[in-house]
Amino acid sequence: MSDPKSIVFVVDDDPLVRDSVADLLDLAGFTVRTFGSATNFLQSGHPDLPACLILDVELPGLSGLDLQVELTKSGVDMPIVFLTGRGDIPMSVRAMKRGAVEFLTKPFRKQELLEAVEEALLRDRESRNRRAETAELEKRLRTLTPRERQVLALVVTGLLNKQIAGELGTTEETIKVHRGRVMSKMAAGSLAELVQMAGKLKISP
Amino acid sequence: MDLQSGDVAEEIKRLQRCINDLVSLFTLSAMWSGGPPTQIVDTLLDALLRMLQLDLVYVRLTNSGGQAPIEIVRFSRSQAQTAQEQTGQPKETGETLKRWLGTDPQKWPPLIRNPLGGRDISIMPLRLGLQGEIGDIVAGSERADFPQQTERLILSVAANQASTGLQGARLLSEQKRVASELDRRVAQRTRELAKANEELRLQVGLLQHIPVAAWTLAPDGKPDFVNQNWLEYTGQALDYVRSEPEAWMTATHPEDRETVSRSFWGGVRSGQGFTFEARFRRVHDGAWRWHLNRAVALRDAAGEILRFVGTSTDIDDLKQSQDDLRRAEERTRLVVETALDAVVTMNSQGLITSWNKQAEIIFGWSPEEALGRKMSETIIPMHYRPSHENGLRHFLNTGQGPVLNQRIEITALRRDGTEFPVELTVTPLKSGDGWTFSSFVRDISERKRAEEKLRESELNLRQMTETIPEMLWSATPNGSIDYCNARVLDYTGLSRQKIQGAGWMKMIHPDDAENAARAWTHSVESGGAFYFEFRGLRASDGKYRWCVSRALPLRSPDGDILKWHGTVVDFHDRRQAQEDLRNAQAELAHVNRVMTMGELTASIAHEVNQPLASIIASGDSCSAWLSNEPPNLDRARAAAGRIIQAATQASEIVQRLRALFKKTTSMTISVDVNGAIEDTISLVRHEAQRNEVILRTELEPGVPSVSGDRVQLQQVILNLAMNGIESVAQLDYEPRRVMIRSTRSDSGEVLVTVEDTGPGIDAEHSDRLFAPFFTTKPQGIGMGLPICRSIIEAHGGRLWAAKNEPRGARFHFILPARTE
Repeated sequence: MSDPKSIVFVVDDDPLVRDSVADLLDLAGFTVRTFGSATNFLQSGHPDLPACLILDVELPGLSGLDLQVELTKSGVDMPIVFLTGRGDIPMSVRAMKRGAVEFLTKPFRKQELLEAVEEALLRDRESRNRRAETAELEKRLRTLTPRERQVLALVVTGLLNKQIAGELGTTEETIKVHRGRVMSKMAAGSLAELVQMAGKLKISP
Repeated sequence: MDLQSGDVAEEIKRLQRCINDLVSLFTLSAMWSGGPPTQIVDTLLDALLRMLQLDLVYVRLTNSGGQAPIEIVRFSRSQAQTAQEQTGQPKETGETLKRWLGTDPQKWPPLIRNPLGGRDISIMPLRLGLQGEIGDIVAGSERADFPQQTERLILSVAANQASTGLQGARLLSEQKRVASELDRRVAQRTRELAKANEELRLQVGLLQHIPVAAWTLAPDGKPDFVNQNWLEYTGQALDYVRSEPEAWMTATHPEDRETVSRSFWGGVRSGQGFTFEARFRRVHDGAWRWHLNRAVALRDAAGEILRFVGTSTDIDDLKQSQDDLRRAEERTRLVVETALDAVVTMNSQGLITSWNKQAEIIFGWSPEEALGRKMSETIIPMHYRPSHENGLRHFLNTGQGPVLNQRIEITALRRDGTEFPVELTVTPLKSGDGWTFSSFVRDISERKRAEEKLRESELNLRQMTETIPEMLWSATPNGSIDYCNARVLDYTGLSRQKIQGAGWMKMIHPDDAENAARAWTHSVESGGAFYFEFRGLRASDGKYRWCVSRALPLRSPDGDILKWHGTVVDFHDRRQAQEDLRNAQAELAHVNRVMTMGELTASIAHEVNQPLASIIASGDSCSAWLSNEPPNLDRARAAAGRIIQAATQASEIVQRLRALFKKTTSMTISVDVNGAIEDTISLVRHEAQRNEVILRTELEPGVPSVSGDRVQLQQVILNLAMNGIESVAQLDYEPRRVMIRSTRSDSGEVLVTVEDTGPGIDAEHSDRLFAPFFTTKPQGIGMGLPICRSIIEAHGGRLWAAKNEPRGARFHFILPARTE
């Protein structure tokens, strides 16, 4: 399939399972790439697309859960759908707590798998969007002068211009000017919007 | 005779004549004094001839000098024609007379033939001197009446007078001779004396200049001259020295004075001179120094002593060095005497010239017995004598001595004839024209004995190391192998030469070689014990087998490493067995895990879920591909294939699981029950200790083996043991014990019992004990006992439970013995 919109990675040491799952996903219209071990998966690069990972827990060498930890450590945010032949409760709880999308036991139903993949890809898209958005905001933030940053931090706490001026030791007029610049540089249409932005950027006074 | 008047007048005339002749004779004698004897004789003879008108007169004078007698003869004119004849041929006359008359004139006959011819003459011999010592006169006349009385008288008187005269003449001449002799002698003596005096003067002059103290003594010992040297040395003045014979003695040491005096006077009085040593005071520093004083007598031609001439020479330094030499010699002698080696010296003839105390002790000859004897006949054993003699001769001839100046081991002979081993060094020294050979001999019998003992013990040790049925080796402190016993060579197939040094590396597997070398180097450098497991090449089959080598260092008392001693043990089989055991244990542990609930279900579930997932997913996709527009038959077929594969997988799993519980055994071998029990115990011991449970075994030796699967049987024992430990672990009273017994039953079967001191089996549960899924344990699945029973029954045995007295449970199982 050319120009895929997303990609699904399947990691399972059992070739039959690997191929079956890949086949299923392919049928459903997903772009699939398969790996026989966690290491293989880590070593391969992957394109910058919305992606998710179908991951067998019982893998030789680096187990599925270990891979989850590894990915989190290296800051990879890829959503994971776990598959397991075992399925004991503590294992599944751990996986879910660590941010897995779903924990399926074999044999699974086709529908279960497809829904989980959809969910995962959605999540990934959303987080990618979020990331992009944050990146944009950060870009805008970088254009602010230090003074403007200070003003921004205080504005989003709800202080009046007069109060801000007092805080910073300057005039209300100056603050008004700064505020205007901040609003335009950040492209915020309203105070509420600015506050939202500040929250996303995790700005505090 | 008859007297007549005419005769009387004749007689008177004759007598007067006689008296006149006598007076003449007396007168003659007066003339004779002072004249030589010959003059006397001549005069006498002439007078007699005339007076008596003799025809012959012969005189023979003895010569005092022992020469031939002087013979003078006178003949009358009538007898002799010429004067010459008158005096001629006295000797012949004498001879003639003698011939006729014999040698003794007194025995001559009165009448003899005339020597000059003519008629016979009458002779009258007369002695000159009382005993005829002066000579003889022989008067002869042709007259028949010769000699008449008066003639006799005259002749006698003449003879006497002549004797007297001659004696006087002799005496005079003697006196003259003596006087002239005396004169000659005196002259000579005077010459000699003058010469001697001259010489003496010269000598004295010399004495003054010679660089020693010199002096002369008069024959009575009184010094009459001392030279400048003496005076300066002693500080004495010449007058003082000459004042008294013993004045100079004040320069001698008080302690020596007596000796000095004795030697001095003894030499002087005997005229033999003297030689003595004494201490004299050197005036300029007051030091007492030893001097040698010698004097000889200077004699004249008659042997009389003219003077004593002598010298005093300072020999103090010489004496000192002599003393030093003496002391050194004494020390040497002492050393030689007390040396632990026998010191024997021998001269060029091979005779013993010195023999110290140790020689006496070692050889048994006293010095008196040894000195002067041939060395070859005393201390050299018979069989060495020829080479000794030859060697000595060779050395004296050529100066070469191959055995000299080095330590050689040889045997020597004791006095009692025993031979014993010695260490010998012979050193030759030139002394004068000959050689002295110093021999240093050490009795090494003890050492030899010790060496022999050591050799023996070494031999023993070598025998031991060679026959011990283990591989032994040793190495030098630097890690180089220097010995290995025959076992090593047999095992590795390497030769002794190949193994030495670092050759042993050849027997080690290449993968282990580097580590082996490192470990060995570490031990060698640090001195720590060596331990290394490796694969070694066994020559007999060319296979690598697991071996372990250990080595420890042998240290000297100071802690230095002298040697490394090590062993190599082929423990391949044991290791294999260890590994097998580990594997079995792992498997058993695994199986045990599998026996617990969670693990078992998880195992089964996991195993089966894999293929199931593939089947369901592939089933879905297969039908999906077929429903596609257009249908994708390839993909559908592929999916279907996956289904079949997965399903096959699943069935295999089921089969395996079944096999685990099947009644027929999978592996039938001969199992040693006691061994199986002990192996199991080692697994649960830790568990028992952790729970503070006493685990005991009472295994009857000689319990027969059974046919079966060792792992499964161990499973059973393990299960029963674990059950026992778990039940006892909860107790809070003693005893907390699990006991496993094995015995041989009466019917020859093997009975194993596992009993515990736990709470025991509740009566109401006893019938459901072996039912599946029955358990009183919160975590249990209740599969243990049923499975155990199943295994035992599959082995043809029985498993049942009973009560333990006074408390607890007993689980028994019985198995038939293996039949060959």
